[in-house]
Amino acid sequence: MSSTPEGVIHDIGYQRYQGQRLGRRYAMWSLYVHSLRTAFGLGRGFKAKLLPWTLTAAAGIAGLVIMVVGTQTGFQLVGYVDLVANLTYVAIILLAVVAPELVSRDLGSNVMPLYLARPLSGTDYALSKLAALISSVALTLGPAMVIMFAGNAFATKDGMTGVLDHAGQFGQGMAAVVIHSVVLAALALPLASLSGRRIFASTLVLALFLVTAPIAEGLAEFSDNPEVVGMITPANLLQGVDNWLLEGTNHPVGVWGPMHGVVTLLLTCAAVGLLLLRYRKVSA
Amino acid sequence: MTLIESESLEKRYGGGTLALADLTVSIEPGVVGLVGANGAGKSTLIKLALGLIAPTAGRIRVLGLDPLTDVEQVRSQVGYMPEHDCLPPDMTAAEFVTHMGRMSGLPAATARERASETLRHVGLYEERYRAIGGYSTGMKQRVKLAQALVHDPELLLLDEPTNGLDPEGRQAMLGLVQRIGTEFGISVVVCSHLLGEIERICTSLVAIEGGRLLRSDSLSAMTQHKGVLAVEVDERVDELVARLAAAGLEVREQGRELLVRFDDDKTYDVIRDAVVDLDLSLHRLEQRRHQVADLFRDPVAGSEVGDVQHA
Repeated sequence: MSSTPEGVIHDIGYQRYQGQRLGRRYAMWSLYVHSLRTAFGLGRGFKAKLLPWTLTAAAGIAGLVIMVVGTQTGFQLVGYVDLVANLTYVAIILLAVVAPELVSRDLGSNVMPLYLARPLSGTDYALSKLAALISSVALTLGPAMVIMFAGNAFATKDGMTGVLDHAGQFGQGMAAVVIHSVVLAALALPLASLSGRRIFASTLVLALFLVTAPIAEGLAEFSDNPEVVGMITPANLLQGVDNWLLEGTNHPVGVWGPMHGVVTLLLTCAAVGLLLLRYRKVSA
Repeated sequence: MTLIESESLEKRYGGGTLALADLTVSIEPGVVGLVGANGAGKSTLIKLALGLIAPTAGRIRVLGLDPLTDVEQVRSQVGYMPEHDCLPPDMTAAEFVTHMGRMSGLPAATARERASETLRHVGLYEERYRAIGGYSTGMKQRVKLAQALVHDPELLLLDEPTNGLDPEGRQAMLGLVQRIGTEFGISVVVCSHLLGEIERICTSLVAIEGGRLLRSDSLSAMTQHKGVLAVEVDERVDELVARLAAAGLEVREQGRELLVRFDDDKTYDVIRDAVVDLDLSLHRLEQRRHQVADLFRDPVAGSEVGDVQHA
């Protein structure tokens, strides 16, 4: 006369774990992968995927159109490096959505103590998140470069020389993608980490990029050196860096190139420093 | 091995608030209740044990290690369940606990496996594939416990695990904590301001007040008294006191209430009969869940609490 309830899973009891415990590095890597997945809404619902994928597609389509026009008419509308600069606004929207997703959510729902009670430190956490944000910008802009290169390489009429020429330009474009991703992400993340509410964090990120642009434009009207004034907005600053370091850009900054480079470097270091400071003090 | 050992531990916060003062305590393995009123310094002690904050004076060792220098080693062997809400609403419990397992150093496949095992042990089955945002408080508490347990720690630090739960949920949570301590073989330090609630499941108790140690002892050495009944009548209180004292009960007046030492169920009968005989109207008759304060400043001057030392 068995009276056991139906559907009981036989409890084999609690199992102690004897296996290996991987350390901090592994935790940082796991957090990076997790954050990158979060950035593109993987493992989440449709709504979380909508924006990042739309932006990636938009960037890709821009690359596609330029490539098709270029190969069909022989007239390249925009070069590789300049396309990256033109896509800055795509990157900014992505940052305004993804940066808060990566850091504000953890602050807002108080998850930080759970991270900090684990082997990983506040600095480790911040660096993993920054790496994930940089990668997500690069993954949004990169495909446009690949599409442009692939199309042009197949369509070139100059044989191997043509392919190599485009490979060179592609390399320059990818370098621009890396620079832009690092700088833009480094500027956006500390801002997003100021608020646990996504809407405020997004606003802060957008403000940095979008409010500075018209100010720079206005000031440039009255300035003898519009290139220098332009540095107050990240989009122009990065174009200056592109012009200084890379080939094939249409936004000359002349002798001010090195200055753009130095300002960019200082700004990026300061932003990362602030981010680390922020996470050293985060409440546990 | 001693779980937590501290020597003249002091923590003063920036604003000059003294959270812990000269705390010397040695916590032995088992299920240990860390009791004290709100603001007594329980959470501060936990944060010091995790190396999240540094002491201003004295030293603390956890599992024989210094939480400030052997950070990684300590934290990979300790599980922590905070008092407040700390779960992302838009993740599923399975996903979240797996992620936290990896954060503690479990390889990906193991983390997934242990996450579902652990969630099952704390009583979450199919629900674990739903977003945490839709969970009840009881379910959330279980997820919080699971994330502290997923990496199979040596020591579990639970900060007010019954917070926000209804009586039934509290019992279930306490039963779970007891199982972790006995069946799972994991030492647990459980913070609470309700002594009556956790004394049932603990093997020893550490009581702190105002950042100082009141008493630390195994439970059997602690008082065995069962509690206090509060009786409230609207008039002729003196007669009732005399009557109850004559029946052999220890009674004391406190404000409008009479506090009667509760020995067994017969105490109820004696009080009932006394009230009926005196023809009084009884407003209240309830068993007081004794809080830490009752144990150390017992309103009924019982002999069992005579040996309490005030720090």
